[in-house]
Amino acid sequence: MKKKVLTVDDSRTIRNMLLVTLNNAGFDTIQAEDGVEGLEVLEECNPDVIVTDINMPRLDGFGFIEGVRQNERYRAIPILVLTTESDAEKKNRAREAGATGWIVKPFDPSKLIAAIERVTA
Amino acid sequence: MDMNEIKEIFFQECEEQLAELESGLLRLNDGDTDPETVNAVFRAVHSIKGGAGAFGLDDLVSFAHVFETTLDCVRSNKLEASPDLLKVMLRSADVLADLTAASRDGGKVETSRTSGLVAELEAYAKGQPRPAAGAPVAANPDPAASTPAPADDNGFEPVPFSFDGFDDDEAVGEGRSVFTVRFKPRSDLYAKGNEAVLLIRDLAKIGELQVHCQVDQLPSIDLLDPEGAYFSWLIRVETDKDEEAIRQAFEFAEWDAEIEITAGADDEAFADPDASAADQPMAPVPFDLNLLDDLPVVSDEAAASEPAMAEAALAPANLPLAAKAIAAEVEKKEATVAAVSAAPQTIRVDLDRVDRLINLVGELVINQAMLAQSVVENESGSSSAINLGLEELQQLTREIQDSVMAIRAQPVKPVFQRMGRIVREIADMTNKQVRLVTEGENTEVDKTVIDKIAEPLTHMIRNAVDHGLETPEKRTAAGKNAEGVLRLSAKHRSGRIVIEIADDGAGIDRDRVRFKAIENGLITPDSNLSDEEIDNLIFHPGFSTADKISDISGRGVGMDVVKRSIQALGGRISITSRPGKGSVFTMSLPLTLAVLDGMVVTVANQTLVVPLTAIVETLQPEKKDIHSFGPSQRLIAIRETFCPLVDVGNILNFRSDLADPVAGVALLVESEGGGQRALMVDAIQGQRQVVIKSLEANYTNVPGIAAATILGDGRVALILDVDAVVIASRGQPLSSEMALAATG
Amino acid sequence: MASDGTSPKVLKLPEVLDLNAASRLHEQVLALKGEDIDIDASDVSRVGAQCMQVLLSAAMTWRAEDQNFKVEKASDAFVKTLNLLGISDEALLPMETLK
Repeated sequence: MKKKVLTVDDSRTIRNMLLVTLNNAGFDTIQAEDGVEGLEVLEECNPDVIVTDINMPRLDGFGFIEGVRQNERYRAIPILVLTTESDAEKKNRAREAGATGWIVKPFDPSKLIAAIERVTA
Repeated sequence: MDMNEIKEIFFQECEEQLAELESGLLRLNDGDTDPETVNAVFRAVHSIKGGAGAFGLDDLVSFAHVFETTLDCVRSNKLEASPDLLKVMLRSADVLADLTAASRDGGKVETSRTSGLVAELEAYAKGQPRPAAGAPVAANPDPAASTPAPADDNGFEPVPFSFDGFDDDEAVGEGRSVFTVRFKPRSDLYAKGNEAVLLIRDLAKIGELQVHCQVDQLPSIDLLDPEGAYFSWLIRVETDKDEEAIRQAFEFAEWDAEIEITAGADDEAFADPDASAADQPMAPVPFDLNLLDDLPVVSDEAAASEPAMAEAALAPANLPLAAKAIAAEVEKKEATVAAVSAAPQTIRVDLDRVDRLINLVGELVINQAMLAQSVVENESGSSSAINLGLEELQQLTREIQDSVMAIRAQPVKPVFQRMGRIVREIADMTNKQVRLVTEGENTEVDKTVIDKIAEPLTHMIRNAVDHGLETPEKRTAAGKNAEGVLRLSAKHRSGRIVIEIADDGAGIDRDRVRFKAIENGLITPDSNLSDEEIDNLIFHPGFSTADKISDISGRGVGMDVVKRSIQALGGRISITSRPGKGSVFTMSLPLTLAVLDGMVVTVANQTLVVPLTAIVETLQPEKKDIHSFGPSQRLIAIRETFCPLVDVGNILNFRSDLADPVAGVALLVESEGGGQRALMVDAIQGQRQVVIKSLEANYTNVPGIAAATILGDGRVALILDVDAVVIASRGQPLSSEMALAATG
Repeated sequence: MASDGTSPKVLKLPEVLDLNAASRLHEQVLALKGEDIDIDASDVSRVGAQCMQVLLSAAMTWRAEDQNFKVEKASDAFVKTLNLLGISDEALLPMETLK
């Protein structure tokens, strides 16, 4: 069965890259444009793994991750943070919010896929 | 979807981000202190950097990175967004735009432009308002080199993105070595979606494993917290990789687990399998429940770090309370989420699809008109049911048309935002101080109109700064603020969009304009012109008050070209000026280029449409008003003035002789330079809205004709290019070059 | 060892035993305390360390109370995970894998 990935990113460029990379790797990809939409979409798609950006309008990655973790049904889903911000403070905040792992942008496809494989059964 | 398409999307997105960036910076400049504004600005630069990195656009990445770092300081309140800093940032935004354009079009941005800003931005980020004299930048003007090298303090590594196969080129050590890994997760590890099973599985990819699960911390079932972490592992790894590879496997776990990696085998644990078996529950070790009551359930260390969990484990009765607290928290979160999700929903539609729809609606409008006409001709219009149906159809058609047009309507904001940059550039070049104030940025107009007003607007803005505003010295001497104000505004007025560019400069120097016009032979020295007429002389072809064509507003383009291009859009432009107080350029444009209100006229048995916007009035000439002079020139007296009479049929070569003015109708039209002309046509059929069909797209460019349309009776009618006809009437032949300029 | 001769209760494990399943599994096991249990893990496709903790704790508790707790049937995934985690308690390994 295809693994389902929910990506949350406000950048159209990155969304398209994720889509191409994930589809090529045989994933089922669902996309949201910010944290608010991410939480909405979550209800419908029940993904195996989430890949999210941090800097987003409306609801940023931190808030989105907290939202997922506080949801009884979805709190076990692994969440990978996809961001250029790899400095300690932001990574820590993402981890405190409940991120499972991270991928430093700009990513290469192999890193992304490897990270997803690493956190999904 | 391939890389080129994504790149295309990236550059489109850059445009949006750059606009967002600039408008945000301008809001900050106006005293906006909303943190979300700073966030939005930061996000814009951040997003550009992210995409640029993926495409290996290193120049763009380097500059965006420095910019972003400084913005981050502002965002985290480490740095105040002072007016000076904002000036630097606005200039940085301009350079970022140039770098983006250079990346897209393959150009190059001079390093001298970036290096200075990089130094200034870095100085701000480091807490210094200005770069120290002889900053390292001076010695090293290459921006890429002067910015932090890849893998800088933020660990940001620009790795180009590629869809090529996944290469697995991990460092390979010589031979195989053995490591011992002690892995003790905390419950947080599981709570964040990590899983010991998967981590060990990942480790198994590196080499051969011998895994020992240590279960001595595991309590009896009554005392167990199902979401606690009791297992820990001792793992022997035999691998040809190095310690780093093992650490990599635990990368996501190290925060929520104790991980110890030692080179070599742990002899005590692994050398003697029997000894390690002591840890194993396989051995029939008596499991004393009483013992558990005295012993702490979790280790001291873990208990100290997770008092809440230990408490929950020991006192399950507290769980409902905790759950309630969490539920309340979730509710609170959801409430805020609901509050922010009210943003307008949008979808992105390919412009071609919209255009196709607009075209179809155009056909529908024509078809509806034809249907109405044939009903009238067949005299079946006597049936009130048919009439009623027709009326409803007409109304619906009109509504559909309006709605479809609204799809393509866009705020003028992006164009206005671009002007900010133009102003800054010219202000820099001319050493003038200018503040641009924009109003009505959200006024909407058809996208095709927006696309076409940018150029004339740019030219007018340049002109206003270059010629309109005075130098700071002159302004101060005149008792004005050294900083000139340029006001750019847009509003809707009676179905048109009106854009004004007002400066508080010196106003038009009428004596000089007059002198120049006489010198150029545009007017005779004894011409008696009103102030308004003199002002409008600047729109005359080839007129330029600047003694030398300056690099700024010159570029070989005069205000006449601006006027021509605006008129080609069915628009009009005028100027009012007050000496010492400034000038106001006003242009009014149709909201769409797809339909036009026209007067349908007959000329030499042909049906023509004259844009209503060009017509000032219509009149029935009388014999006594017509005066001839020269071989073919005629004038018509209208009230106190004489106005050249232009025979449209003759100009367009519909007929070789001149029509009898008394038998026809004169359309008084306003033409270049504010002067008026009377266009002679044979008869007026009526007024109606027509759907514009491009002649160029369907046939070829025809001098004197702007476009075509299809009338209700199915006939094709040509839409008159009034300006081209007026110019032709001055004795210049209708050339396609001129017509191009007019429609261009 | 089996206490009173009544047939053991069968607890069928769900397909996924992740973080979310641990509490429910814990409750189910607790509810059967004092009785012999046969675990049916034949449907399990995914099991995490925390559910393994519950099962192993139960096995040890049952053993200490001198009652039967054993995994009767298990999927490959279940057995594989046990191996991966280095857990070799005979109570969790189904009969056929022990042979």
